[in-house]
Amino acid sequence: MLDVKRLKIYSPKILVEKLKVSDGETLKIEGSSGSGKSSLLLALMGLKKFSCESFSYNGEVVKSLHAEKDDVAFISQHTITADQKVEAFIRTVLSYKKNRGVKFRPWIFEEFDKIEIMKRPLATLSGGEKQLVSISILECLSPRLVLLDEAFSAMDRATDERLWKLMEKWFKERAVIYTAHNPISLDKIKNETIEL
Amino acid sequence: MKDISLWSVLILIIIGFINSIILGFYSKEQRGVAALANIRSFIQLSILSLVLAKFAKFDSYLSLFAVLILIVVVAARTVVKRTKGKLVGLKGAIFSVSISVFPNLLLGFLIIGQDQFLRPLFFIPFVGMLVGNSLNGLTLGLNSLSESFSARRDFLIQSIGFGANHKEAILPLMTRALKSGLTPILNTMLVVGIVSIPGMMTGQLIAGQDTFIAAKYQYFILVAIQTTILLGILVVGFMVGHKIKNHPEVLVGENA
Repeated sequence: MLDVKRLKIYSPKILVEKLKVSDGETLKIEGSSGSGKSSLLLALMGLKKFSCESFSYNGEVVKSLHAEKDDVAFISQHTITADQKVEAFIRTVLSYKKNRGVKFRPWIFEEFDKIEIMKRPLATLSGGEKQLVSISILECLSPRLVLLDEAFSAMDRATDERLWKLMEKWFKERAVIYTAHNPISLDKIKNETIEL
Repeated sequence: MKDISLWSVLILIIIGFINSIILGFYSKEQRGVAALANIRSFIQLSILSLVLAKFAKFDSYLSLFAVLILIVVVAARTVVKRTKGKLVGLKGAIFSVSISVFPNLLLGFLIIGQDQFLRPLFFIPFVGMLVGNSLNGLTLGLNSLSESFSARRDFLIQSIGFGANHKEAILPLMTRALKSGLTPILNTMLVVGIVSIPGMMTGQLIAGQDTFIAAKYQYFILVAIQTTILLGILVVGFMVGHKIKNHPEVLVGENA
């Protein structure tokens, strides 16, 4: 699915000899703070300057991934910020041309007994709740390749484990590249690790 | 119309200085600004009257074009100076102001007619009034866009991560910028004729023009100002969207 060789980022200096992930595989990017984990994911999304020997997605040579046209989604480490209520923010995401026709089902909120979250302004949500919103949106977008940058970092251990129980099958069916400082449930299915 | 004597002008200047001295009791910084504004405004208006008197004798479209370019460049420089951040450079601002002014000139040409519209003593004050009045709205709108672009990078990145194209990602920022930029002129339009009688209409009424003709001219200039602000912000928004499309890394900078 995604195959990148000799990827170089200049600020911070990073060289990744090989980055490969296929359907059903999970790749963890590890490293200390400031080692460039986020930069690597941003580079893959074309949001950070980089050079590489080859970059192919689904067998085609491309410059970088594009969530707008590829079956890819990316969750940034900075929790979502918007002056909207959660339901309005979700409506905005679903109004994007690529996401038209996607139906949002708030079943994750229901499972966590947090359905009222839909009516709350994003600004009043805790970091963990915002990440829950991001994961719920990701679930309904259902991309084949998922890039997660510290997407569970603000959740407590119990929430992470409970979410894992709900979404284990979902994650196993996809290609996932993720970064995480602390151990998280997603570690259970990682196939490979890149150490920066 | 009866002339105002130079002695009367001197009295006005003295009143202006007294105002600045009173202001100085509360803010020393503002005292200097007020004194400068007082004397500069008279000097600038006097120079303008001399320039307009000279231009009135010219019958060349080239001279009007030269004045138009000068006004656009000075306005663009002001926009760049007054806009925070580096979202708009001088070239971009010149492009934006030019694109936003041009349709109004065309409109003026069509509605008012070549004979009157291209008369130097009509054309130059008209362009000056249009650009001058649009500057505040343009600056407010572009400041909002620039601030949102810096403060809401995370939102933009996340929107792109969820599949937004560059236009969709920037839409909420544009909505804010247009609201900030257009609110003053829309408010003016809502109360015009009730709370205030604006400059152009006042001038025409003082000059003895028919009241309804003066009202129509005033309406024309209000719509033209609104169009200039709207187009100016849209053009810059388009340029920013284009930048994001071609160089999405501008969203992250070197701070990732």
